[in-house]
Amino acid sequence: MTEGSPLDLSRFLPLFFEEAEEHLEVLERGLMAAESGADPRPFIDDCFRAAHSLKGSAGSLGLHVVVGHTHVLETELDAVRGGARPLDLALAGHLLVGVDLLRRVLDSLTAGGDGQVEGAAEWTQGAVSGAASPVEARPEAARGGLRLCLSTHADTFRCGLDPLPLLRDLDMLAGIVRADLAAIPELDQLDPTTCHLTWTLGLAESPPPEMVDELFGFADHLFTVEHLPDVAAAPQAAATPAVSVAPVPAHVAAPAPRPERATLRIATEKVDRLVDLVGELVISQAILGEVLHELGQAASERVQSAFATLERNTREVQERAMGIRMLPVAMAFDRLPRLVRDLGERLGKRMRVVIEGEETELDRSVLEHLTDPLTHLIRNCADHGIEPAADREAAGKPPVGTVLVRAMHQGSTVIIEVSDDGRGLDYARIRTRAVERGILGAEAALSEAETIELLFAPGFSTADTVSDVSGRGVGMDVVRHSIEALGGRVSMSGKLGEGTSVRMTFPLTLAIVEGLCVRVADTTYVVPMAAITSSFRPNPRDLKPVLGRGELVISQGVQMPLVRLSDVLSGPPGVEDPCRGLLVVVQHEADQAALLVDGVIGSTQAVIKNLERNFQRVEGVMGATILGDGRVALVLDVAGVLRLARRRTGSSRVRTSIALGAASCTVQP
Amino acid sequence: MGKTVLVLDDSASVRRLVVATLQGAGYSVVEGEHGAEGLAALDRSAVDAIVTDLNMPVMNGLDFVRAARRRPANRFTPILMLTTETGEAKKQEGRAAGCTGWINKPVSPPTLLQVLARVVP
Amino acid sequence: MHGPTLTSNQPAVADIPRQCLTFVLAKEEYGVDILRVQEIKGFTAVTPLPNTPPHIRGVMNLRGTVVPVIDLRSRFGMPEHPYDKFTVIIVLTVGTRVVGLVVDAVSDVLEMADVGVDATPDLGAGVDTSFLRGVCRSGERLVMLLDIDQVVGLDTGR
Repeated sequence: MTEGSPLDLSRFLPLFFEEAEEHLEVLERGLMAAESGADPRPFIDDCFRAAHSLKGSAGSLGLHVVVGHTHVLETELDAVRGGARPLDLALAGHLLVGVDLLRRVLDSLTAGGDGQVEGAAEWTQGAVSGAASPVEARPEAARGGLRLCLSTHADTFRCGLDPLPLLRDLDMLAGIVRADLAAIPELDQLDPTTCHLTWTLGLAESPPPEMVDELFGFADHLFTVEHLPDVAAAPQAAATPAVSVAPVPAHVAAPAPRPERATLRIATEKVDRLVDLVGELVISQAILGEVLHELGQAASERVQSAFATLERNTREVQERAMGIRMLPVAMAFDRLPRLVRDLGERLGKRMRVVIEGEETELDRSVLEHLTDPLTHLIRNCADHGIEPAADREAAGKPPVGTVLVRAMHQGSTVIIEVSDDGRGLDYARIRTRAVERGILGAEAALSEAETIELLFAPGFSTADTVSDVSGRGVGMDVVRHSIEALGGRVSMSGKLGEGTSVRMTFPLTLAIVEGLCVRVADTTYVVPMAAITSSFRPNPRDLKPVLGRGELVISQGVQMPLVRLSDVLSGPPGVEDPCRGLLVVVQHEADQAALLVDGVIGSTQAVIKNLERNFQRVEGVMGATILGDGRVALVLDVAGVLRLARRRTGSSRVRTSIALGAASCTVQP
Repeated sequence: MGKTVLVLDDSASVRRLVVATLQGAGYSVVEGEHGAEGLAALDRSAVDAIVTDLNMPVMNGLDFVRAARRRPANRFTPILMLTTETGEAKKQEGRAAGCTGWINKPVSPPTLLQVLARVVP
Repeated sequence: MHGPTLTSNQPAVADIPRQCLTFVLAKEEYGVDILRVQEIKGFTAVTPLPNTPPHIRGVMNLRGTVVPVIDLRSRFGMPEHPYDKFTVIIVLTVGTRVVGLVVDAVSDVLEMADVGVDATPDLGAGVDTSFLRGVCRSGERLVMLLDIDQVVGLDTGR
């Protein structure tokens, strides 16, 4: 490349890295399948193509380090698919090492480094013992060599086009450019504004058609690109040598196209913006609905019917927009088999992972942040859960430990569970450890559930990797923080000797929630309709204050706590006497309560803005929404409100603060 | 960078997009709504490249290119046409008039910047 | 990025911003990196959040985004002002978050290349010095440079 203005390709790098990761995953999957003894034939073509594409795009971006590395992968895989060598354990392992190194090279490049990674050069130069002689691999010259003839129109200069920058771009394809000067007339006849030049380019790799089009397409009235027959082309690869392996499916002819879901790459901001707009659309439609309602009979039938159609369409758009952001959890689960395999090797334990429900869909923003907690949990399984094979056999368990990762929908939530059939939880030891660490008073008596909560306490995360604390122990508070920051909840269960299970629950994106707007003093809250059972104004005889347990109210024969929202949510107090306010009965799982409000303002479709984006999760609040007057109103998380209420009254459902040691810890139910 | 581009289009929204794209990439921009304004702009400032629409009132893109090419300072200034038309005949006409290149509408900002980077000296 | 002419006891943090937006709080001047400033808003309705520290006033609506509002006086332990139509909120980006800070008034933009920046001295009973990146002097003015991540991060960060 000469001085001047070299084309800046760095803007294409982010996309390249994304695609590179996809290619690496394909390679990894195929190679690991081969390693585990599965028939690699369905994967070989994909693996080869992945290596080939990666090499091509790396080449066009001048990433020679990557090109050299992928070339080796490509060559080996080509030999395999040509039947010249089998993809045995040794080769698969060797190639997997190569994939790892390649990943590190790419990481180095992504971070702005030079891509030099220790061991990469040795790997590309080394060969697996027993490799077939390179002669059997297809000669490189025959593959992809291309000659182009680039001719310019006589008017090129007069149109203000200088061909030189475009030729420099072709240089990126590592080709040879030779100018043909034969058409230039003698000096005395030369019109300097007329272009007489033609170039012949010999390229080692054929550039994808789009790239050629991209380079020259804008000036196709001035350029002609012609493909010339490749003089050096060797005859097609030698016929598949006789091998004892069953014949590889014909890949020399164009392989049958794999049925693939048509996909589209879209920038995340575009999708987010679209989803936001849908939210706004729903609000507009709701406002329109209210106006129509007010007009009542006066609104013409045509308007009413048109509005009904609008409402239907909006609902559908809303559902579909929500759907765009959902991705299958498989994306987060993809790396787990590799992780488990590596952990098993490192720790000397035999483990396998079983994945269920990977097509379950979850909001993209949650999915993106799921990997860290998942990895953490899997590490815990490997470190603390699964016992060494000998111990397992002694306990009558199969020597290979199983880590089960499951995803499923349940109602309006998505549940992801990570469980193992390892040591389980030793509740007694956990309690002992807590007492030692000063988190628990020695006399405290805890249920199993409460003991488990201790594992989520920050005090435990400072414990080193001690096998004393069986099952779990390291960093569960971090996991909980991460999950809750994503709007989810995490809980654990386990049985000594049998195994442990960690369950994460996420709400499906509740971007729009149907809610009831209620007023307490001058504060507006939105209560999700789904949680509301009924509402009523009580009579004095329905109320029963009970010493030590707050206020109770009887609704339709059922007794339930009366919750003053202003108390629980530290807002200005509203009406004092419940009989002059309104009670909204809400329910979450088995719990019920009556929320005291001053009055109801109306129903609304609340577009939820989550607080975590700019702040953090607030207990009792699902999110915020913007009212018609522009003010922010809080949308309640009924489960959280009920929990807060119980804590205040010290109801028997909740265990209050445990006796102190050096630190205190309030145990949540 | 310090390069100046003249942008001509009778549609304010297209102009706005193109101007924003170019300014975002560090170019200085001069605008106009049609060919005549374009020529007037060329009288006032030196530009390194021109991006113009084909169909404009008062003076359309091709007439503008022909006129611009007659100006000594702009004989070889790169001129890119923004257009929805891609027919061969139009392209011949464009070449005869002196257009450097064609960019399809709707304008893709990355494409515009890529092509511009290749033609601006 | 050109640094300012630093005196011998310069702050350990090498990246002093090029320009700072200065504002007034209890008659003292403070500065924040102007690249973090998204906009300056006048008085806006703020919805309180339950069970949050008192300096977190609540959240406000910024053209459809819900943004937390932090009262800097409260944050720094100074007596609070009631909000009125002269109240100013500086909207900043802190990492990936957008946050609003309530201040008394906004002053101007300071070119850091022209001023001297010192390490934070012990300011006595004033602001907790962990919130400051340094102190700069411009003629008679003394402007305390805020470490925004610290000021906000303690509330919102993990």
